[in-house]
Amino acid sequence: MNVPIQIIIIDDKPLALNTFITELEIVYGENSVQIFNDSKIGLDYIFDNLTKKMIVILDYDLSQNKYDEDKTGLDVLKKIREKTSLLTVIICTTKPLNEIPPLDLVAFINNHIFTFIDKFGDETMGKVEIVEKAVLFMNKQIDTVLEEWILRRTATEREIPHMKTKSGKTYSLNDLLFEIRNQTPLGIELQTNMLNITIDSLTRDKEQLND
Amino acid sequence: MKKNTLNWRFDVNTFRLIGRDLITDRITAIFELVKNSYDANAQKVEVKLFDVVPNLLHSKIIIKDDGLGMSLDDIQNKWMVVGTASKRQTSMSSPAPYNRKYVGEKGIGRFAVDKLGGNVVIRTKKEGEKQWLNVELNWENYEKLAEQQELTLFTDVENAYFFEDAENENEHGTELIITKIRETWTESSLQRLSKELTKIVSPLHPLNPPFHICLYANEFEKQFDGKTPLVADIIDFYSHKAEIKYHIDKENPENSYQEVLSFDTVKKIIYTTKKTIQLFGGISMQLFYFNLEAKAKFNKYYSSVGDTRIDGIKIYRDGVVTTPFAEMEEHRERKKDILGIDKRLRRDTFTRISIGDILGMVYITKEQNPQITDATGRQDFKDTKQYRELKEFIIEQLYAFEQVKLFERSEKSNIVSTNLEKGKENFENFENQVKNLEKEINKLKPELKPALVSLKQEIKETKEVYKKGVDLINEERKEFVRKESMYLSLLSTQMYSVQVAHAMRTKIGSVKDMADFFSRRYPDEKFEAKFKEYAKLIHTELQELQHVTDFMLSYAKADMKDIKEFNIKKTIEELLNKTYEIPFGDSGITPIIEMKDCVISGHKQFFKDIFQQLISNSMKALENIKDKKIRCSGYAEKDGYVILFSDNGYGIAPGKEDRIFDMFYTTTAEQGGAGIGLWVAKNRIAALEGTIQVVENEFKPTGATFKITIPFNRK
Repeated sequence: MNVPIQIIIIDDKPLALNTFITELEIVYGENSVQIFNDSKIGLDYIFDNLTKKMIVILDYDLSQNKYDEDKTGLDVLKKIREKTSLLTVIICTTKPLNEIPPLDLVAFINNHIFTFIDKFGDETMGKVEIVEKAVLFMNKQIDTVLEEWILRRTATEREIPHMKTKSGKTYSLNDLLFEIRNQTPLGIELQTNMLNITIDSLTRDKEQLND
Repeated sequence: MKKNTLNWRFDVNTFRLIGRDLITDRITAIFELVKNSYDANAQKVEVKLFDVVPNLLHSKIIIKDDGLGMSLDDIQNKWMVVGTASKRQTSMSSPAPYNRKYVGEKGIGRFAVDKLGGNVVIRTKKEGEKQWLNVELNWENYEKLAEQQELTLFTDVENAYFFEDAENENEHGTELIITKIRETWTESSLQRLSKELTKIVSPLHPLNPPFHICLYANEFEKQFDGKTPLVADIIDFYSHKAEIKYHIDKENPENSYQEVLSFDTVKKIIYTTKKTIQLFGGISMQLFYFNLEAKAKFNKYYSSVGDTRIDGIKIYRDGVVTTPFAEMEEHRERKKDILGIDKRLRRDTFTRISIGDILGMVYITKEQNPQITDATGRQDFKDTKQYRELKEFIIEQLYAFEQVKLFERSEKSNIVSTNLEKGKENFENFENQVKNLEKEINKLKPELKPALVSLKQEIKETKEVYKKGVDLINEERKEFVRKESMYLSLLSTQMYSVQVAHAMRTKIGSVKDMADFFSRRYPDEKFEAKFKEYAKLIHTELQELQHVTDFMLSYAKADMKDIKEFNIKKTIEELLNKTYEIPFGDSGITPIIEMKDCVISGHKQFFKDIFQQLISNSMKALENIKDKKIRCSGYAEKDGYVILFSDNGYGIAPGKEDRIFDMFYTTTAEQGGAGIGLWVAKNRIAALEGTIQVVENEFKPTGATFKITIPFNRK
């Protein structure tokens, strides 16, 4: 089952992305794209929906942003990264890369953006392709894979206490997904353990890979 | 548990990093060493150069002072400790009566020696000591070690020292004997050195106790005899002089003030006014301006004496010069002008003062101006807010002289005009007198008549030539005004293009994408609604783009002599709602127009120029404002039409309301402001015989409002 994907766009002047948004909706569904010209509202939406499968596209130049504090997409990106390192973020810019201040470029790398979209340079379908690549990338992330696996369980199965910590707190599958998506200490530990187990099982019995 | 630690070590190359590579020229090097002598309470420093021209086989440079001198302990624990703060711990040199504020600070001046030569022997003695201490620093040794493969540490290199008995125990001082000189010197570079050394101490504030510098060069003994202390030339031949001081009243700080220069346009003189002490502290300044005549006199006098120049402003801290002086021409433009005076010149015509027009001394003190400190290379000051403001302040004082220059030029121009016209009159009188003379001669000595005839003919011809000459001059003046006008229009177009270009790009991009959508998806029932939407949008965007091209075409077609009737209200509406629709939309500016209808006759293009400049100005002022507004209101009065043009941007600094109309005055250089906009506006308004001034801003708390009046009846 394919989990529906949400594409969040934060841009103070989204007019230039008109056709791009239309094409995204053709590919991912009618209500798959959410546009915000106020970065605060956009961020609130993102943080309220961290458990959902999301790709975020941030405009670099937010000089006409309704929310003053965020002047560029980098400001918004930093706020996202404070909460989670898992969200796939693309930066959309009208400036050629060599006109972006080098320090900002460094910050983009350090904050793990997926890539850039050139508002004017990339054709509409080129932009869509970039988003498709981002989705593919996202699908390989552990939280995404886990989510799809969980969603194949029944609703009841998802609520059963699945794990118990030393302190006695129990977690269902849904809870675990929440922990990972929000990158809590438990979530991070769980992620690492899962990866270790997976690698371990890969190198042992091949039969164990069957699902 | 014992910790694991690591220590810093310095590669032997360090000596070059803080010597040759840090001090950028050898005159600075000598300068630094002389400053050290100053700090050591020397009264006399001898700088001697032996056999430095034209080859360096036996060359030697000696810098000898009669200062405090150093003991072995001083050398070991202060001189040979890099970055010593011992000077910085107390703010004065000891003992009295010198009270010299230390001028060398960072503890690396001593490495300046490396710039001059590959070997130095330091010979030093304190008063009362029985022996002279000699320390040899062989930089060449360091070089050799640096070239080797294995790591050698700067701190491991050994430097020999020995003692020699002193004849006179009371002698004291330090002598630097530098050999293996790196570069040859020429006569002119020695002259340069001499001139620069004279500037160490302000020529107008000699020190007490004195600090004399003597220069000796054995190859030019006559010029540099080493006996007479170098003295700066008295500043002479200037055409204008001005001075400002400051006053600090610790008890009543409100009585403290900083003087600033102003130009009285009525009395046509420079005068001082009082302002509060600025961010950088109190400073005093002396400025000497040389107009063309003064420059000619100066150069005539000094060309025979040697290399002397009118070369801008020097900053003296606690009586000793701090600003750089560089080696020859190739560095002149770059290094001398650290205040950036000539940088402004690049964008200029005739009124700006360049560093070739003024000599100035700025006096700062460590006490009053602690934030003005040397940058490490000694070729500039540290880039702090206070220093930036100091630079601006100094340049502002030059403004008064610029007014003088402007005034003198227009005076001269007026005088010439008057004289030229008078000349015509004189010819008429001359002709009449000759006619009268002719009558007399005909009566008394008719035989002289032929001579008179040819004389009359010559006068007539000369008069014709003269008249033609004057007419030509007047023609050229008109031509100049015409060209200037065209130039200004071009500037306007260019400015508009820049503003519009970015916004246009967005529009064109989006039209392109929509067309692309059509070509990919049409026909498809599913997207009927989208097709309709995009078709409409394409139309709207292209219409806006058309306004832009229309505007630019209007410039191409405009005839400078085009005077006709036009509706003020409609013209402004067109400008704000159509021509500027795209850039306003892009920047989020809301135009508000409240104008009464009015038709005037005049130059429509000039009129548009005015508002274009004002809009351009406002757009820059509005850049960081949230709710951007531009408002234009207008109404007719008895004699003319009044327009109020306002924005809610950051406004105009108080006191600058008149200066903003000056050519090349800009506060928005970083946003690409060239300082021309308001000057153009004023110029155009003057062409329409109107006026423009800054009035109280309509928008609060910040904003700017311009009031423009255009008379109905014009000549």
